[in-house]
Amino acid sequence: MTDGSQGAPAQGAPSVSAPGILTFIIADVTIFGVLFVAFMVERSHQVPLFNQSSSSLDVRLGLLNTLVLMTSGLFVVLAVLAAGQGRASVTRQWLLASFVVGAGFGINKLIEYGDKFAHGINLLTNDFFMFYFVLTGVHFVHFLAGMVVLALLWFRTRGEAVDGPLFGWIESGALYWHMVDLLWIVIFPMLYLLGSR
Amino acid sequence: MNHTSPAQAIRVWLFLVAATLCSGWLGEHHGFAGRWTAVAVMFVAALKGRAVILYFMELKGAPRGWRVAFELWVWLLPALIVALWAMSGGA
Repeated sequence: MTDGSQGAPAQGAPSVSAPGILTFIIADVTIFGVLFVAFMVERSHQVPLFNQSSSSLDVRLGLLNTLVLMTSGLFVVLAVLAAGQGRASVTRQWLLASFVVGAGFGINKLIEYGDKFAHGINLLTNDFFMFYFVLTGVHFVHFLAGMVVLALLWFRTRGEAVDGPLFGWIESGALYWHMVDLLWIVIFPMLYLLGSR
Repeated sequence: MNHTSPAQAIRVWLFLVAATLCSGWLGEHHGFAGRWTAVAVMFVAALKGRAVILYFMELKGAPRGWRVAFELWVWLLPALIVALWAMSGGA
């Protein structure tokens, strides 16, 4: 503990109420890390192809998606803070805001996939796009799971005290949602920005 | 405790937005930083990841083990990506 208070946990400290979810997150991001390294190793064998393929990605869409996840992440932080203070209606508002903004990522990603498919680009086009679809696809599944979690929390917080037993669930859901953001923070520059355009 | 306050969370978000826009601009204008673009965008990614784990995930106040594990990931992965990028000719 940075402040030396190892005893009674303060409400909301992820270290205390959510070791399970933190274990899951560190395992999950480590698996993603292996995929990142595999991508870079494969890239090193086919640099021109990977850079050429990467340059066909829409940086603006990737940027927008980064901003969407970060903003949604901020709203989840505010939801957790409100829950810690027992403010149920404020918690629900922030959870809803996080869900609505977060949905933008899904819409954006579907537009991006649709554009690629419309141009005849898919998983089998080349090794870059194989990694592109697998990495962003697995991340997208994590994103969808996060959206389900946000929706479930929103329903559960209706009529139940947010600073009681439910708090741990809100906090765990929030940590998971931040993981989706954290992964995209690395995926975006690695896939979209490494090669010259 | 080291709780992230709403004002602190908003400051972190502003940093994340600014950093994202900077790296996006650098990525689209490779001429500006040249070969250093890849290093710059991955360094920014590490800084952003660190801001998320420390303030959004509140690991700043977590036991040292958790913080170290996540900080390792946040620095090691971008460093590995840059190393592999450099080993493949830095292109």
